[in-house]
Amino acid sequence: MECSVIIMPFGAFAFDKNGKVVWRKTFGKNAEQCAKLFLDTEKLKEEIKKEASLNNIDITNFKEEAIDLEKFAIEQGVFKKPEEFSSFMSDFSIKLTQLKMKQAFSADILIIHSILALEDLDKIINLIYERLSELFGLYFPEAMEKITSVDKLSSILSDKIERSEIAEELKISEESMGYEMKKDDLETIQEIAKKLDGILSLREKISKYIERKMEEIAPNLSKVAGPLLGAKLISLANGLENLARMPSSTIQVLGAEKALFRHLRTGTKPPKHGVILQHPLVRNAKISRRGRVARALAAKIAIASKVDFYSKGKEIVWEKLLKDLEEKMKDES
Amino acid sequence: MKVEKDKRFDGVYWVKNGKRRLATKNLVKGYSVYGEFLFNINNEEYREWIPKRSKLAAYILKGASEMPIKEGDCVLYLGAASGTTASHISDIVGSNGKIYCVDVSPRIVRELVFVCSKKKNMFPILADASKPESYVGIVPKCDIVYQDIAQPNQAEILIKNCEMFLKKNGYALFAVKSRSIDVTANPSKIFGEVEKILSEKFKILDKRRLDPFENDHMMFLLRWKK
Ligand SMILES: C[S@@+](CC[C@H](N)C(=O)[O-])C[C@H]1O[C@@H](n2cnc3c(N)ncnc32)[C@H](O)[C@@H]1O
Repeated sequence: MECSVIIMPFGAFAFDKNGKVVWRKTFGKNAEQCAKLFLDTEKLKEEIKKEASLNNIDITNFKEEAIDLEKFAIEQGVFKKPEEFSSFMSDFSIKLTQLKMKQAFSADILIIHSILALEDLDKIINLIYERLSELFGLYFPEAMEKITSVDKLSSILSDKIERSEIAEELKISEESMGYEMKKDDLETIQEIAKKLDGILSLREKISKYIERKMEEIAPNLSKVAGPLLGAKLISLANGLENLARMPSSTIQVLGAEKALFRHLRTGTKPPKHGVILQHPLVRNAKISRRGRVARALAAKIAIASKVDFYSKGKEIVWEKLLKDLEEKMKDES
Repeated sequence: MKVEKDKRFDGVYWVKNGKRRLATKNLVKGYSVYGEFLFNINNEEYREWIPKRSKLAAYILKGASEMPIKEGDCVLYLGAASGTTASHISDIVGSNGKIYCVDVSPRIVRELVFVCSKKKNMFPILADASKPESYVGIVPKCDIVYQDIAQPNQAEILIKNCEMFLKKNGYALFAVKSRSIDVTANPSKIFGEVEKILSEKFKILDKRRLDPFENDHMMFLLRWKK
């Protein structure tokens, strides 16, 4: 007999031409079991087809039609009372959603949060660096004058804090116009320096982690854009899949949304580049050429991210992309 | 502290203690979903319904012409997010009602699952509302489709879902954000265009801007022509 089938959370039901149920396969009342079956509907359909044909039921189609499930379930005697159906549906939908959440996870979300964590750390580092310079500058301004980077400040001060030792390391006089400080004052300043040093090494670790992660899920993008810029692009696009679907003209201005909206609303000049300005090829280009370089780079980034997404990071094309890009740049200059 | 039924809408209340606050009767006592106040009056618990957090509350405060959602109704909610508005609908439809809560974002559905495991008449569905085929086996024919998804083609998505899931002569509540369709165009023009698409399939019963609670938003109350 030819029938069409509707799959419901609690079972599959075959209907004849007149809408009468001629065959059914219920899935039991265990909501978790039913949710697991629903996770792979294609497989479920295959199994139902097989089982139906053993019962001489020829399934012509699976109907995608919404019906009054509660009424139907009770008519069919699958559930006795509306409350029983409701509580089954609650368990079933929660279980199915939980299973789907697990599947929806993809590793690029780790990259997105890690690159954002890096930016958070940069803000924190700047704040602490400023405060530490002020404090240490009170004690030994002549040394502060000589120390120009955050790494140097934090590494020197976590190790030494007395004027004489620092003067020796920097090869300057320990004569100073700074305040005289007590042991407690200096130890507190040093404590801050040690923490800052720790945050700097955390930053280094996260950035290495991003490089490894990028190599794993987006090796081509990682090589063409650089791992950190590549990660930033994934984060701005809100996922590798979205980035892979973007035209290169959008990629070119990712991160310049404000300027882009201003352009659309008020007709100011459109932005020529967003974060890809951070790429050495664009940054080091003459200002007059930057727009063109950005466009060429964005085109290669678009290809790289497509290959990475669709091949799941398996196919490697970056060497050719970089070579093409180099040649393009030569032609242009 | 006093509580009053809304004169027009069943399941909607006003709690008065100095301020007049919109509220619903809490289906799960002691449970506050999004930080709203709970008020105990005469052995009943009421949940403050905050119009800046819920567009349906904003719509009611702006003078909704009608409230189609009633006790026992079955609602398909597209763009349920973490369940803020859906949780109040859950109070209104009560334990005989059902709300099928669809949202596409796993991050936000994570929160929704926690709410649904407390409010047993809310069912979470992780799916894209533009692909109703993907939840056709789970969602039945409903009395109301509520949609708030901030997507460019939201009117088409609503129609597609109503074709599949809305009962004959059923209602739709549709929150439109003009800036999700086009950031540059003037909102009135966009609302006009949306209305044109809607009017082919629905009778437009009411439409109201939601400012000052939500800017650039319009709520449409619709009746399915089929
Ligand atoms: C403005 S929020 C909704 C707030 C909610 N209605 C409330 O009042 O509590 C919009 C939601 O729509 C969801 N969304 C966007 N596009 C969607 C789609 N195609 N399908 C399902 N949900 C979508 C987003 O994930 C987001 O959670």
